[in-house]
Amino acid sequence: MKLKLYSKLAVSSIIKNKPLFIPHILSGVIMTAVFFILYALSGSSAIEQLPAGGVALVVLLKYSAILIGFFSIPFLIYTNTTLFKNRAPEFGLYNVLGIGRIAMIPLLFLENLLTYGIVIFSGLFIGSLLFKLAETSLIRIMKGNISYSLHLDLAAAFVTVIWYAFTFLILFLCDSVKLLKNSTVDLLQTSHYGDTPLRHPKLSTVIGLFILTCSYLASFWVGSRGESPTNHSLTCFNLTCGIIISTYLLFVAGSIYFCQKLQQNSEFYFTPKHFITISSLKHRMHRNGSGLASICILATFVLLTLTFSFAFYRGCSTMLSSHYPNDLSIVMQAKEDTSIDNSNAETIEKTLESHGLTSQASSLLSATATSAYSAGIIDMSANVYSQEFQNSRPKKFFPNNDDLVDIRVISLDDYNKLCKTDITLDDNTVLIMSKTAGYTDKVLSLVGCDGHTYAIKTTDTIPPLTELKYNNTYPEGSGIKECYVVVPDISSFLGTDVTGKTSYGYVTYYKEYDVSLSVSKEDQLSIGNAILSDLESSIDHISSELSCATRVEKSDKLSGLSGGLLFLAFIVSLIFILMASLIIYYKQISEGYEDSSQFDIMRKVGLSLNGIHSTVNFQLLLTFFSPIIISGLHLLFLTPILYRLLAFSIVCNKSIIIMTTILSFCTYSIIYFSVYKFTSNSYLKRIANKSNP
Amino acid sequence: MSLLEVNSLKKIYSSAFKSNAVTALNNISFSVEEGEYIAIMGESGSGKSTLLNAIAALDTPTSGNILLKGTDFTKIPDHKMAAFRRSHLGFVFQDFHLLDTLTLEENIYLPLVLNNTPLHEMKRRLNALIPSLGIGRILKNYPYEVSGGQKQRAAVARALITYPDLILADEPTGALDSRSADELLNLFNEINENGQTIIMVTHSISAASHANRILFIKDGAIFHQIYRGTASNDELYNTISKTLTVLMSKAPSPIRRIAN
Ligand SMILES: Nc1ncnc2c1ncn2[C@@H]1O[C@H](COP(=O)(O)OP(=O)(O)O)[C@@H](O)[C@H]1O
Ligand SMILES: [Mg+2]
Repeated sequence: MKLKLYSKLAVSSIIKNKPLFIPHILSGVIMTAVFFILYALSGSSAIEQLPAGGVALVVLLKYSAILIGFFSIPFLIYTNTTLFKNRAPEFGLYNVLGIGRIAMIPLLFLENLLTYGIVIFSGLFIGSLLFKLAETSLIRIMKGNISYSLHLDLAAAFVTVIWYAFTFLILFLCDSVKLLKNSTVDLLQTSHYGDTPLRHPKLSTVIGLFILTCSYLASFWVGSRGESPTNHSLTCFNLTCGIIISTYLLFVAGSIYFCQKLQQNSEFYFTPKHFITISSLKHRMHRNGSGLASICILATFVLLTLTFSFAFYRGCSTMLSSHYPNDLSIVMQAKEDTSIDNSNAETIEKTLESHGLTSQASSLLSATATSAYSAGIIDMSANVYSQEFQNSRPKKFFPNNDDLVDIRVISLDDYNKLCKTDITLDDNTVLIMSKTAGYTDKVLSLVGCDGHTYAIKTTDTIPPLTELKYNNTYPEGSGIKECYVVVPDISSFLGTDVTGKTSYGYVTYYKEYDVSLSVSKEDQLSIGNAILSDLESSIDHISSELSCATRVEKSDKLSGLSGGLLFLAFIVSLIFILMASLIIYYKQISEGYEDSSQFDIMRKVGLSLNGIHSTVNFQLLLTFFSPIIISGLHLLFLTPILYRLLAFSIVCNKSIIIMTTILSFCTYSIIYFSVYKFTSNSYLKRIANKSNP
Repeated sequence: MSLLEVNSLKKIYSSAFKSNAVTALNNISFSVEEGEYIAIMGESGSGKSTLLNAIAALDTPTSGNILLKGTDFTKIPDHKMAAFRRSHLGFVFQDFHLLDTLTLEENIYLPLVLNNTPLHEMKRRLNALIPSLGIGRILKNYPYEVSGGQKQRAAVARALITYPDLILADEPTGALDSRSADELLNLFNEINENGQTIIMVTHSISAASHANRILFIKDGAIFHQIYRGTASNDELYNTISKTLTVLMSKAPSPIRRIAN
């Protein structure tokens, strides 16, 4: 009976206060939808199938989902506070009319429950709609090569439901505390009177600036490590939290402190131009600071997502040519301490022959070595992954990838064959080339696996490295340099103790087959599949690991995936931008009612209509653009991490990343600006109507 | 030359949607001499606020003109109006009209700041006002932190600080308790004695009995006026209440004759 009454009251109060509830519910729906999409994506098998950066991407997505999840709490608390403040007089009135405060708690609970229900339902609905849309287009592009299972979506939905239940519980508790803590008079006056002034704006500002500086520095630090940022996830997490916290502090306290400082400068403050502007700005920031901070953080997030997706999309072709240089490539990798299994090699050649194909094959030795670049020595004699080696470098607790070099050793015969050259080498002489390491002949000497030092021979006729067409094993931005060394004889270069070297697992034998296919795409695919199945059954899997891939297949998958990702990122961003702008719009308009009475007073006291308009314009401009400017700043300082992340995922081209950053910032600004124009027009109209009776 | 001359002022409110137009002011003429303290009385809806808004240049009359020191300000272009209003007129409103975003001190300074007055001059003027207004201790407070009476005194200070030719007050005691109202009326008397011209719209007989002259308005026209002459406040109070009794009755024409 009582429950029925309460639920009726709750429903009617939500309907009655629609204009107040809508922004709150909208924000909730965005947060849940974005959270759900990111979480579901991070569990999607499509992403993991990415050639080199899949794992990084999964981590990134999951990480973003967690961040959004955490960020939802302050954001929804903010929208909820606005809601509560406006409704406080209503509660006060109930109280005056004789409903006890404790008795109002169940009502609050039901209201929050109802809001939660609406939010979770619409959020999941919109979220899964978008997710499905992206997914189906992905599958279509990939011709159904990737199978999706529905339970992943369910898992994500479950997490979303639980997490936001928790969030709304917090909101409910906040409301209850406020209801019980405030006196009836306070409740009656809450919406009308100004918020309690900040106690220590200066302290908060200083702390905010400090945290922000630390976060930015941390970003540079992570960016300067030659490793994937996913290896520093704790630092990344901390710096992200730092940015979120400092953004809040600076918007909430910093802006107030700044205005106070301006006000203290009387010469500046007491002028017609600044007087009204600064004082109303302070007032406005006081009420909207945390809202603007929230929007700023979300904007940063959107910008990062957009940039990442754009760059990912653009980088696909680069990645394709570096990771899949050949139409069909077969790579055989020797397992453990065995060298290349010659019978397997024969099987491969026979299989290719049976399909009427010829190949260029070469053996090579891959090893990770230290590059003491300053000393001009590449040392292959030490196992960089061994404990002794780590201990011998006490100054560096983490071996930095920037110090490592991936050496690919090939024999002179193979080299001459592949590059159609006719080079000869003396004993103890090697050819060396690298496009990433940038070694110059004069400074470098090479210590071979046998501890022997080799002289380096350079020749002007060394063909470009790309003609070697090996599959890159490391992502370009990994910081590990790649270096090709051409030696007269591999076995003597390796030294006598071959087993010992290879058993460390840091020197590995490869044999690569480069096959050109001059047939149609479909035929290339079928040939690739036929060869793969032939080899699977005929090869000895104990001694060798085999990979066989056509570029066509990879390119289809990759472009489908990047297209789908971009599409999804775009949709999520667009929806977010529109909704965030809608929230601002909504707030502006509702505040317009209040402000118009203030502007009416100004007019009566002697402010011209022009003056009022310029004040309004300035305020709108600031409230709209401060979040995007600050988020642009965040983006700028987060670029080092973004760069590393992208480099590890797919693309290492700095100019692509810079271009995409600018592109996404512009896209965002244009959409944002149109909403701004729209809002300011209707806001000004409202003010003008009010002051022109 | 009178300080203020209102000549056959007419204000018709017509809305685009409704066919009926409301004649809020119907051919009102009167003049105000320097140093006068005038109260305007009348039923609710009789056009008092409309008249005051027209004099305050907050609203443009349908016809007629208003001269302040010989300047017809219905002819002043819009963009110069704000400056004119700031330097010649001071207002006190029923609901104070203080900006919530400013402290009382800043509220008081507002018109001067807009006039580009240097800070030391603003301070000098405010310091001169503080003793009679008794707001010295609350200057740094925000409007929502002080009582209605204090707000109204700050509003009076804001009206006075520009040394206006004319102070216009629309039911200034309407939102105040009786003690604050009395204080405010005494304050008005005080500043009037210093030569300040005041026009005050009021419902309250006791408020009106502080003035030198009382104008009665009915249906947008001046119905009657009373000069204080040598009468005391109490005598004036009785005269006003008698007039109001007649005013409320339904027979306008014989009384109009008396008024003339
Ligand atoms: N903005 C307006 N639009 C239309 N009619 C108005 C407007 N303002 C006032 N009126 C009408 O003009 C008349 C006089 O109003 P007003 O001057 O406010 O009266 P008072 O202040 O004496 O109570 C009233 O009939 C009122 O309805
Ligand atoms: Mg009125």
